[in-house]
Amino acid sequence: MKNKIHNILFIIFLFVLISCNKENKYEIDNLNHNTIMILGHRGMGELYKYPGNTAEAILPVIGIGADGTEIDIQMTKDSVLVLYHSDLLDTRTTCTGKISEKYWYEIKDCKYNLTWALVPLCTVDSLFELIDNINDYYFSFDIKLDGEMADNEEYKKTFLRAILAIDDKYNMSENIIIEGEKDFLLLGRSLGLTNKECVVRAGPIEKSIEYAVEYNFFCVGAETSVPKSVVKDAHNKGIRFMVWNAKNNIGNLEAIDKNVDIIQTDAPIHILQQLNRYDYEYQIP
Amino acid sequence: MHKVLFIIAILLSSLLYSQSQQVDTIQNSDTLRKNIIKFRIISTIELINNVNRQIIGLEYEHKLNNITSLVLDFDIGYFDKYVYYKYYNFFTLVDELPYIKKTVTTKGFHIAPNYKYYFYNFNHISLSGFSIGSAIDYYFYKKNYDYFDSRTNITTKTNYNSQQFSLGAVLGLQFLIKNRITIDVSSSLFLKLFSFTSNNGDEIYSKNSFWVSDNGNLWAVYRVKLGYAFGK
Repeated sequence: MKNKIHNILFIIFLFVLISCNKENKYEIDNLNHNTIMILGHRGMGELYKYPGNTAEAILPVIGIGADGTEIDIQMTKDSVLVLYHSDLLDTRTTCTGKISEKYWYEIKDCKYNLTWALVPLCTVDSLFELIDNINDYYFSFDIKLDGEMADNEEYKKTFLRAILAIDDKYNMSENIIIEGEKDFLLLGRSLGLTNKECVVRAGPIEKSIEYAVEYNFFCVGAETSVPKSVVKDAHNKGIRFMVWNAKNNIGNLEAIDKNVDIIQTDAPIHILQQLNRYDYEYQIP
Repeated sequence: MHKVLFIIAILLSSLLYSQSQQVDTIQNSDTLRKNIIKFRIISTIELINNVNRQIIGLEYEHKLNNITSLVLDFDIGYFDKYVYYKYYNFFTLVDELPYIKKTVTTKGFHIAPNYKYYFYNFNHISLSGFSIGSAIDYYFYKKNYDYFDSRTNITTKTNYNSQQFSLGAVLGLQFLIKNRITIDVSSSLFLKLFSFTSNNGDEIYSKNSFWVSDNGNLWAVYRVKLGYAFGK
C-alpha cells in the first residue's frame, strides 16, 4: 500500500512539472510599433567566445534573429572604417599603436590575441559584404574618435564622409544609427548624412532629450539603469530611446520593462527567446 | 566512422569479458532492489524553462543479476516547439511592421533499450556504481513547419516525418540513496545505422542530444536522472 502511494505521488509530481510550462508574454509600449529593436553588443556580447567587433561575433547574432548589432568604429589614416573598441591595438591584438595613425594595409593582418583562433580585425566594408540581405539589418555605430584629434574639424568630417560612403555603397543610411555628441551629429547632417542620429554623452540624460527635441534627433541613448519615467518622457516628446549595458538576463528584462525602443545587449539569446524572436534553426558556430 | 565502430567494439568486448570474470563477486544484500523507474532531471528543467523543447524523459531499469541490468529509456514530447518572428523596416512610417513568422513543432519520441554492466559497484550494492552498456536508439519525429510572410500574405506549410535507428555505447554512474532514491548520470554516443524521411523532407538529426556531428551520423547524449527503486 505504502509503495503504491509512493508511486502515485511520483506520477503526480511529474504532471505538476509538466503543467509548470510557462509562456512569456510582454506588453511593449514604445515608438517602434511596440516592438523592441534587438541589437547585439559588438555582436554576441562580452561573454561570447570570439572577441566583439569581429565577423566571428557579429554573424551569429544576426543568425539567431537579432535585428543587428552595435559596433565600435575607428578610422585609419586612409579613411577605412575599422571595428575596434580600445584606444590602442596593443590591448587586444598582435599589433601596436592607434588605428588612426595607421594605414589599413599596415594593420589588415593584425589578429586578436587568442591562443585558439586567428581572428582578424574587420572593416565595416568587409563585414557588410559578408551579410546577405544587409538592408534587413541595423547597425548602431559607436564612433570612437581619436582623443587627440577629436577637436580637429577636418578629421571629424573625414570620418563622417567615410560613413557617408558606406551609406551610399550599401544603401544603408536608414539602417545605420550614428551614436555621438550633439555637435558631431550636426556636423554629419551638414555634410549630407541622413542616418538615424542618436545623441549620447550630453551629460544628464535629460540634457540629451532636450537636444533631441531641439535638433530633431531620432533617439537618445543611456544605460539600462535609466528610470522608466525618463524613457516615457522621451516617448512623449517623440524621441526613441536606446539603452546599452544590458549585460545579462536581468538587464534585458529591465530594458523590456522600460519599453525602450532599441536595446544593445550582451545576452542576445535570452532576450530573443523571451520575445519569440530566436531562430532555433540557426546553429551557432 | 571506423573509429567509432572500433570504440563500440572495445566497449562491448570489455563488457562481456568483465561480466564473465565478476558475475559471482557480489553477494545479495537486503538493500537490493530489482527495479528502478527514473525521470530525466535535465529534460524536466527544459520542460519548465525552455520554450523550445518540452520533453519528458523516463527510464525503467530491471536487474538481471547483481552486475547486469536491462534498461528501457524513453523520451517523448516536443523536441522543437517555438514561434519565431522577424521584423523589418523598423523606421518606416507604416501601421504595422512587416514580419515573417515561423511556427515550428517537432513532436516525437526516442526509445532506447540498453544492456548495462556494472563494472564497479558501491558497497556491493547492485544497480549502484559505474557501468558501461550497449544501446539501440530508435527515434520518430513529426515536423510541422509553417512560414508566413506578411509582405506577401502567403503561408507555406510543410509536414514530414523523420525516423532513425542508431547503435550506441553508454557510460554511467548510479548512486542509491536510502534504499529507494537513485541518481543516475550517464553519457551515450550513438552511431546512425539508417534513417528514413517522408515527403522529401530534410532529415532531422537527433534532438535529444548535446552534440551532433555535421552530417548527423554521430550524436552524443548526457542524462541526469532521478530514480525510485522498488521490488525485492
